[in-house]
Amino acid sequence: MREINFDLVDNFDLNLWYCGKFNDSLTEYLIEMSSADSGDVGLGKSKKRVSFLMAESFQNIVRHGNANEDKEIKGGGFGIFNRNEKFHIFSSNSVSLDQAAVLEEQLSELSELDQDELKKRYLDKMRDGSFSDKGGAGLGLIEMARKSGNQIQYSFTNEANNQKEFNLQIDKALSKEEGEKPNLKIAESIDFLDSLRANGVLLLFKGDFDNEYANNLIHMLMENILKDEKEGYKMKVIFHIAIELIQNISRHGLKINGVTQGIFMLKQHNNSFEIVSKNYLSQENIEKLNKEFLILSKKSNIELVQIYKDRIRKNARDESKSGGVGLIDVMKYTNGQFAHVVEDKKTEKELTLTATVEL
Amino acid sequence: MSDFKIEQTKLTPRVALLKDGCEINIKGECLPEDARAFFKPILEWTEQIKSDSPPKITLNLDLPYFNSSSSKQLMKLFYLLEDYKEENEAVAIEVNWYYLEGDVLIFEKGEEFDELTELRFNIIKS
Repeated sequence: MREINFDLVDNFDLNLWYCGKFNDSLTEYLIEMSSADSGDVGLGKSKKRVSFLMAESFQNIVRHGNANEDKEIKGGGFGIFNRNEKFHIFSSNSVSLDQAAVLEEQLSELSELDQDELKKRYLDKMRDGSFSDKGGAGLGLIEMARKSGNQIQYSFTNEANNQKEFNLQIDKALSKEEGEKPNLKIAESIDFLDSLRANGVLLLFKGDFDNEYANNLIHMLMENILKDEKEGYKMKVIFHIAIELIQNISRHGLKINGVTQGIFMLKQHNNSFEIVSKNYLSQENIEKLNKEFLILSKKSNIELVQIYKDRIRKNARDESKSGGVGLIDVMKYTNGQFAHVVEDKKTEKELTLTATVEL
Repeated sequence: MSDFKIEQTKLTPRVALLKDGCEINIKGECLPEDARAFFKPILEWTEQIKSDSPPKITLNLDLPYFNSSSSKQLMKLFYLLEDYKEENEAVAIEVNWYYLEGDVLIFEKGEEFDELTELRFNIIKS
């Protein structure tokens, strides 16, 4: 299987990638997640501009993608990533060949225009009022080109069954210095999205796990991805594990330069889900964790339940002790399919936790 | 002592602690990042209400989901009530644990707490 290129993930301060169903409420959560005002990582002051471009990009998927009867677009992909004063918004979705032809013509025309001409084109379109049923006669695309101040990167790939993948990337620099640096090529984003899909990744988030970011991530999982009535109990278990791993990063992740950097991934395979977290950890916490895993991994589920009960009884009476039951819960619900790996990174040690839930 | 309320947020439940009838009501998703801070006023209110010597305390818990750090805080709440019952045998303490039909996870969590405490647990389908 193709490996996910974590070097690319590491190169950016914030990464949010999503592959799956698109609808309007998801759009709202993804925008909330990537534009939370906290820490030095993320979009901070540029929130408004980024939110606008993200919204346009989402609406582009929802507008041009082929919706099912639940008004959801399936099989789309979305990514936002930034470093320093520059961010990139990438989207990918299937369109019909006819739509592809129209979009290609519009984008090709736009690429020839400078900022003044783009403004004129926008005003003309507004006056002209030639809006299609699905929205705006390319207005969104014009606005993206105007607001990003950069040429929109696009490509059409994977033609099959009268459909093509429409890939679009907006690059926005917030400083002159960053504007002079080359943009990440759209081909790299397409390749990265393919590697996520090949690995069954539904969601990848890399960023600061303090405060708002982690909460928005939890809220999005709660409201969107894991709302699957058919697999009610299992979905709840997956959600439970996801929360424990996300909050585990917030609580125990090593803070570097005031930021608790971490990665969370949710993967879906044919008969299972995988929940993955990555974060830096202090040597002291690594030793504690290794010891805990050594003890717990040898226990049966019945023994785990007993340890859970003993610990919760004891710890509730003793304020000095932390809960210590989250790990046991995850171990119990995964029937032991819960792995931990510690790797040496540049200066710190990185912990990866992988929990697998069979459906 | 007066009533105490906390409004529901995205990740924390609605809390209504009512002096009349001595009711502790907690309803909603319970995923606070800092569970200890969230439960602190609830535990303090419960500790204080005991000095009024109420003949009955009812705890209504309707938590569609709660994180593991909230488990410890819930256990602390149960212990407070257990201690009160131990000191005053005549007092009636009732715990109503609500779960949605088909929600095995929350049903099981209710059973687990029932086993962990000496309190009378009613596990109720809502």
